[in-house]
Amino acid sequence: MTGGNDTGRAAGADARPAPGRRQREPSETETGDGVLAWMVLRQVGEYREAWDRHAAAGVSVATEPGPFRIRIQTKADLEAERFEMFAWEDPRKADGPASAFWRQRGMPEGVLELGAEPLVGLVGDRGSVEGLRLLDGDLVLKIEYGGAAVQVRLRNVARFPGDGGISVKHGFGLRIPLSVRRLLDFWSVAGRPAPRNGRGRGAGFGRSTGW
Amino acid sequence: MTVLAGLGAGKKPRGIAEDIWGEEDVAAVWYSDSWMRSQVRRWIPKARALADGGWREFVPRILAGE
Repeated sequence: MTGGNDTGRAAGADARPAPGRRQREPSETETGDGVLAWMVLRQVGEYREAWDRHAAAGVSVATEPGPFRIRIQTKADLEAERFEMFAWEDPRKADGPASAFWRQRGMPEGVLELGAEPLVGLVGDRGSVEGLRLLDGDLVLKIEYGGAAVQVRLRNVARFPGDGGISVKHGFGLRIPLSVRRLLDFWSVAGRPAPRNGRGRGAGFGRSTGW
Repeated sequence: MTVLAGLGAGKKPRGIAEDIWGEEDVAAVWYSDSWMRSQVRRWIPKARALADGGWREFVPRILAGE
């Protein structure tokens, strides 16, 4: 899917409309729901057994300094790839994350942005940010807010600064300024349906997203 | 999710129904052609399909298109 995605982006970026024709705007659509996927997978016996074997091996979780928890991917985490995850998550942990670090195809890319509002302050106590430093050096941020989760991949970021903010690159290579001012922007960038009437997707979300 | 969890715990359909509606309600309604029993029987294969890989459809990915 990623390859096709890239091809589509290149074609979309370079193509010029024929005279007299309006150029159709290319689009990207995010499918799936990481929160729902994790809700299901954590109940799946095959995953639970695999997790138990992983946990029994006593693999410790290392973190790196940052304004939020940033796990460091281990080689053992690569075994979670068969469950389409970048890293293991405990399926029985009641207060664990709402979503896992998914090996998401076509993950939106972000860049550290001077002057962007710090991520931690944006999310506040209504959500959470967690990072995962991949073995290849990239940093994946998982932002959970209002019952949804969005992942953004950052390249060439050695240390995430305490007051760091990001912008998200559009799929066609454009930055969208101020895209992290609200999680609503993440949904827009990632192609998620924006919450309507100030309410989030799905049942059980009764908080305003007007932040 | 309750059906999935019940199947994972090795519960029978009635046990799953009790997790959903409670023992008292199930005791009152659980008979051979009851709606409750039919409902659980419909949910079980769906839950099994999710556990057998159907969950992968929920993993986020971005599709490009025009």
